[in-house]
Amino acid sequence: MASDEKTQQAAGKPAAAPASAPTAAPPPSPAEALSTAHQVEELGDKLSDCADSIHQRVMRDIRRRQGQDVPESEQAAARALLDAEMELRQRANRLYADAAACIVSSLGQPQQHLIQLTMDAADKIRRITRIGDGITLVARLLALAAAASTGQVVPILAAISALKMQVDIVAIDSAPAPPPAPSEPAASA
Amino acid sequence: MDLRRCLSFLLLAASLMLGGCASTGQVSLAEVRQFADASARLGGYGELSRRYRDTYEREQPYLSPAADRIAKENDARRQAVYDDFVSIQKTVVLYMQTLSVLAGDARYDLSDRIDDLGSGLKANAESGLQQRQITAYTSLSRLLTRVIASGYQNRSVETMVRDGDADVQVLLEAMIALTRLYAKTNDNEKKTVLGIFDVEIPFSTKTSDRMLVTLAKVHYLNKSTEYKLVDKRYDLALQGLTKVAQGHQKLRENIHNLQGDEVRKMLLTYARDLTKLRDALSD
Repeated sequence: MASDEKTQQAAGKPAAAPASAPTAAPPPSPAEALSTAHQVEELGDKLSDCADSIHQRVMRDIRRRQGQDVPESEQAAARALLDAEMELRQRANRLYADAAACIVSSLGQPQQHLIQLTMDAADKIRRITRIGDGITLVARLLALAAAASTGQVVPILAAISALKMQVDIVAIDSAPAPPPAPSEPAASA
Repeated sequence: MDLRRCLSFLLLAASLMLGGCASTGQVSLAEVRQFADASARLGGYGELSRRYRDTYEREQPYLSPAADRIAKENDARRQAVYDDFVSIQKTVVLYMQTLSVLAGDARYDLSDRIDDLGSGLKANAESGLQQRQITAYTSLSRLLTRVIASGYQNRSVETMVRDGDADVQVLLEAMIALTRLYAKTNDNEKKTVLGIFDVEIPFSTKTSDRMLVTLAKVHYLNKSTEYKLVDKRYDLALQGLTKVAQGHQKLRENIHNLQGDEVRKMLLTYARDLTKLRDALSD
């Protein structure tokens, strides 16, 4: 999927090469600028949703403990996820600031794809069986959010394919959920 | 500058002297005036713009170092556009005040308010507004300057609404979009501030944590009450701006029938709704 876009991008390059590099987008027309602002805002919404998913997921584990002591390792994982959540919220706020200021360079092609992907990721995070699995996924998501804020196509595409891979891996991991992890006897969700 | 003001004062004085004949054709449009006054006084947007600008100040103590780095950049971006965001509102408010003057019998002077509009928008790459909004802003400011400096000569509610509506709608649309983004930013701020306590309070189970946990719970309670109150204000401000936009559109649609009973009743309803929203906002 992502490599498709990459080749498209590469294929598009020679044609447009004499005029300008593909990353240096021409100044958008009013209508384009408006739709760009909307798209940027929408991406911000998706990142906020992902942050919400992370929070829900962390809270689910905490509630399950019902006031019992939480092992150090799990606390560390929860804190790492909380940090990621916080960072995502800042990335989202950056996109809101960009939408408000409309000084974002057009994200162009990858936009729709990106939104779909972040939606998948949010969904995955909510359903992850073991909290530890979430950490890599969230790290990929953060990388994507960071790339998105640059507005440059190539890093965005790279981040998309990394996230995509991780989403797929987690899917394989958590699909046959029944085999219970030995370290977690009470993991009956 | 002074000379210009002096000149506009002279013009105003002249127009006041001529006022008797100039305004013979004027009808007092009480409902239009009430709608325009209520629109000008709505409030909410200015305060929420300030709140948006000051986001970092409030969230900073809660941020992790990694989040803080991004937050600082976000802060700079928000600071840079604040003046422009407020300028839009000033123009719309002055438009409504001018409309109110035109709809009444009295012709009081608003020329000092033109100076208050300032030197216009920064209107460069950093300014944060789309070309469409900059154009609307410039053209509406020009209209207002012309109308006010001429002492409202040859102006009526009809011509003002006709000439101003398109620009007013663009600027109101921008204010609505911005308020929505303010609300979303605030939501992330709220979840950042409260989120830490969701996680850390349950982890603090040692007896020695007791005082800390108590303080944290009190802080959490205060903060969540604060955010609950603020959340409502975004909603009220959005409702108000939408009502102003709708009311002005109705005004435009019925511009040749402002004395009609139906139209007057409708405008009065808009004015009352807006006053209610303002009261709710100033609670």
